[in-house]
Amino acid sequence: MFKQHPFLRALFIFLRSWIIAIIALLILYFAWVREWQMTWGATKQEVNRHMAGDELLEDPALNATRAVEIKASPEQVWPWLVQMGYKRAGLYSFGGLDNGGVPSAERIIPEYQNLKVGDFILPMLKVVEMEANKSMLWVFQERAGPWQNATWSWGLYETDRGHTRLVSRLRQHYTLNSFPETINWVIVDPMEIFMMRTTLLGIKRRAESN
Amino acid sequence: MVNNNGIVIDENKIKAFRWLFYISLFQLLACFIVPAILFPNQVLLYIEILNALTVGLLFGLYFLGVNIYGIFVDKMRRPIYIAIIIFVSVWTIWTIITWLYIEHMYYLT
Repeated sequence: MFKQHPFLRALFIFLRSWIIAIIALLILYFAWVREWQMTWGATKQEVNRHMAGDELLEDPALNATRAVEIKASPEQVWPWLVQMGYKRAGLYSFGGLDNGGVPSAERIIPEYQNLKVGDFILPMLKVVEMEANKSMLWVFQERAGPWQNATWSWGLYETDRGHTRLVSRLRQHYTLNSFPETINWVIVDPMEIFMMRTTLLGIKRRAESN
Repeated sequence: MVNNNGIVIDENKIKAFRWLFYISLFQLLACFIVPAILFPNQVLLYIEILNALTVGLLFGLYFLGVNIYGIFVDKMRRPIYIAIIIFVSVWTIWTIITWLYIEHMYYLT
């Protein structure tokens, strides 16, 4: 039947090739890409190390630990971290999206240096713990939808050479029980690496250039 | 159908391929047009650039595959398919370079 109608034949080829492509992409993603991107830049020790907030969320579906080495001391990196946020210095990823259309800051801004526990980084992302020059924990609040209770932890570890290993750990628990959660999974699981990697490299470039 | 050189042409196959070409082109264009309808102007440029770097590229690569197929199936339109293949290849190279040096892409960050 399909062969008699060019449009139906084309549609059949189109759908069949997409089904094959999606299956191939899923196999590729779960067999190789996912583990690599979830631990991008991090050593095994950093992946296995306990970080602030780990105890808040057990067995998360998304558990991503990424790291970069910055040629600067933790004291030099810290000011770039504490000024992060929406309508603050941005998240150093895609300024147009994460900071209301304003590019992320290229300098340390004194008025954003007094971050404290209870402040908000994004409208639904709250600072829950912080130890100057060492670690910081952000937790998504109730109105964050599928992100509710997800944790975003930062760790700064000084190396023997006086550099900083900046480690970011994002943990989120989700199921595929509802449409919003499924959409969240489809978008977040394979895509958030694009923003996180840009954020880490953005901090690295800024800290090293200053 | 047999052409002047005595080569058998499956006309239905060419017609089907052209429909596939148009469907894939529609898919690619829709990928960039839909965000233009959904998102406000202030963030639209960033959305479209991110689109070109991620999902749009996926559709672009699909379209690339269709055009490579077209070179063999629809020989009359080869120049069009070759031009599209070159365009999508340049797009892909730009994407790879952008992701490698994303922190230096000031227009994005």
